[in-house]
Amino acid sequence: MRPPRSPSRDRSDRFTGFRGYVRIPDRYATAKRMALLAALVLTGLWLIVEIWHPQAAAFHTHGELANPHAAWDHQCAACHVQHDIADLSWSNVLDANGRWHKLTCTKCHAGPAHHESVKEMGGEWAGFHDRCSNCHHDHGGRTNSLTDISDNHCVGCHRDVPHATGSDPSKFGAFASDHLEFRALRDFPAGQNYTPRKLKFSHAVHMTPGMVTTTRLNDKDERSGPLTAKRLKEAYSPEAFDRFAGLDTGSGVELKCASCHQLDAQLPPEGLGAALRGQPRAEGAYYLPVNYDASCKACHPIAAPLGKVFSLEVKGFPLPHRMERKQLTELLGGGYALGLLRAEQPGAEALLPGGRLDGVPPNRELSKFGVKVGSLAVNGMVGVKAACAKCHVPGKDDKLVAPLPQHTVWFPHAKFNHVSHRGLTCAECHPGTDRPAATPAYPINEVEPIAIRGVDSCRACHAPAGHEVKLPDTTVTRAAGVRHRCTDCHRYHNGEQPLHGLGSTTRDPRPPQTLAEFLKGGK
Amino acid sequence: MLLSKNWSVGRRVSVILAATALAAALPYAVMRPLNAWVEPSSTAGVVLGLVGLVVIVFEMLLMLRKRYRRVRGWPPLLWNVRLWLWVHVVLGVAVLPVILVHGKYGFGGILPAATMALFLATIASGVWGLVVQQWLPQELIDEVPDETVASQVDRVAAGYIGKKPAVWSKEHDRDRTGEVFRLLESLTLEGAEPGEVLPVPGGGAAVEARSEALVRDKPAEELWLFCEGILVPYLERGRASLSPLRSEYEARRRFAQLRQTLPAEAFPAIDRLEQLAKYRREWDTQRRVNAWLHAWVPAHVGLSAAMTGLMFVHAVRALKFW
Repeated sequence: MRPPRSPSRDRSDRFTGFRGYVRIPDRYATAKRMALLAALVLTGLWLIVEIWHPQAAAFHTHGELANPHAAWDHQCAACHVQHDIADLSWSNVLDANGRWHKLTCTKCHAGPAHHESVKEMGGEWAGFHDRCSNCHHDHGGRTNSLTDISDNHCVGCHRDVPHATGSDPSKFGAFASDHLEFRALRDFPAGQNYTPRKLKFSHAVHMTPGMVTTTRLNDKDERSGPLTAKRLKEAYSPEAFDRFAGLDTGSGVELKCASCHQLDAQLPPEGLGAALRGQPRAEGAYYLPVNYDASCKACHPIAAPLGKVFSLEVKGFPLPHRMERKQLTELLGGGYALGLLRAEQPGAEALLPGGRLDGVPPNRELSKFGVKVGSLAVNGMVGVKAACAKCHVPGKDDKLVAPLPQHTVWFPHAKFNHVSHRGLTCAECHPGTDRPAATPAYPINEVEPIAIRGVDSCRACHAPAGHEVKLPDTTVTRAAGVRHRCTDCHRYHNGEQPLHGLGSTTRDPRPPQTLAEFLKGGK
Repeated sequence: MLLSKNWSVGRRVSVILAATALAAALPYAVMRPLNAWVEPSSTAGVVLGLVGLVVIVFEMLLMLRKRYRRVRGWPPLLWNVRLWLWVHVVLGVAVLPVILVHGKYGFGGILPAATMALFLATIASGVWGLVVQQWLPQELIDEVPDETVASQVDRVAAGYIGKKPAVWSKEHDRDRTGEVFRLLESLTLEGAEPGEVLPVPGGGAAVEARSEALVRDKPAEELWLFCEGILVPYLERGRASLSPLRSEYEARRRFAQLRQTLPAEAFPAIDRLEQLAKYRREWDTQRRVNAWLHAWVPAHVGLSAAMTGLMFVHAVRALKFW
């Protein structure tokens, strides 16, 4: 009997006759080869598309361009400077960021500098301003804003602004927590009269219903007390009645803010800026300067005072606003001369156009006449100066009044849109300009403090939601979470000309492009 | 080396998954609170990209090293395929944070996104392969003690039926000279050769010479029917034959039924037939396990090759504009 076979032998016997199976690839080896082939084909196809497809750049974009740049979504070279392998060197091979950010924005955007002084400052941040893409980040999608820039872009340089101004040694970080009080309010805090203002005006008096007077307005006025349109008309002119149409409640004229303050978007007052009617107007960000003729003249007409020379009295006469001393002297002389002629020599009427020529006085008489007129004009000027001083601070040297500072824009380095905020009453942001609780004491004849609430009043809305805000009246509230980035208020470019808008010529691209060039990304 | 063979499978798998997750999440956990991301185009970002490229190229070289595994050089340690594979695994996990940080944990444009997606899929397939390699080989040893070469299962099993014809056709089927038919003939035909060795469990037994068939008439007919109709198709095609022998319980029942009709002297041969069915069942299991064990490799290779190709396109393109 043979010995039993071992199991190992049994296993090896299974392969008797086809031991070469190891040379035949199994299905996994085949699948591996197929996978490699597929990978090769995929890469090859991608390369072919890369080379031949006209919009292959889209495969590499970080994301869609913003709407203004949508035309160049598939044209990297429209904005980015292309680099070849030959451009690479040991020194720049790792500076991919530098190569990528080598842009040609100025083909279409002039982009004036922030401040010329930045370059002089030098340091690590000086170069920062030379690269548009350091702040303007595209490829964030069609609706991405290129000007919505996070605060860290700004505070990198401006962290030390408070220190530089000497007002606060702390570092600046965010509007909600670190922003300084507005410059004007730092210099002239609430309650302190704003001395640069050269106009004496009391909102309290003018916003009091009836603007109660304790004296008569003039000789024609028969009483004191609340002003009505009828009383003003009797005292001054029919214009006064028209001026307050709709504002006269019977017991007195009640002015509103809009009675004098008009947005730049509104129709100019009748008779004022007639040339502007029918022309496009601004969007209403700012209020127009208050205009004397439209807003003040009805109650505060300017007139030459009654002139007296010897026994003669020469009537006063209306004078226009905004006259220089020389012009005013001429007007006074002319006006008094006319009044004098009428008062002492009716025949002189013939001097007027269409009159007779036979009443011409001899030279000696003319000389006396001139002396009288000169005397009247000099005295009249004294009276007129006193009238100017009712509202204006007297000027120096030969100036009748001190020049008025331009305060259409109170924050020249920031932007503010009144239209965006018109849901609020004016007095919410401009304290002391609303109707006073009681009739103010008279006379209020001083320059008012700055009628702007502090930066905290902005934070009630413009701060991270829930941020604790202490309002000027010491109440504490939670911020509403409305946007509060630096760029929501501050402009960057052309900072030395803060009142220049986007239309400033400094922003004009040079040279302008043709449409074909423009669509190719400019030349 | 890092994963001791003495550790349990669960522990080894946990270490692999934890290491991968840590590699991916740690830089994120550090950079996110500080908001200190590495820009892909910054110097650090480019350096990371280049480091990743070099590592990936090394990883791809494993394919060549395995293809030419017989090549040797100096120093021998550098040419050790097992060491190479170990470094491949370690660097494969290590390159994950490098590329994720390089990509700022994002995808970017279409090409970077495709490259990153392929990279992540490659890493995932590699980790999956590493996990199954910790777990399934032991399963295979435990579940399939009589394993054979997985790719040759059909051929080996069919070898028990007979030899394959040179040209296959309906008329020229596999010949019936295999062990199954020899056993059948030894039981049902007269005049078995004396001294013939039958491979049965325990090493085989010699057949005594006899003058008449051990199994005759109806039992013989049933035995042939069983083998031709159930056993042979199962050996040939395995689970695909839908044979009841796929189930161990059913197989045991069927063979028990068969034994009831046969004399005890035929039992060793029946035992052997049952064992052949058991082999096939084990090999089917082996093939299934083998598929889990190796199917990830083509996926891993294909994904990594595609990723490497796109990575080079991305790098060249980046140099042009970045």
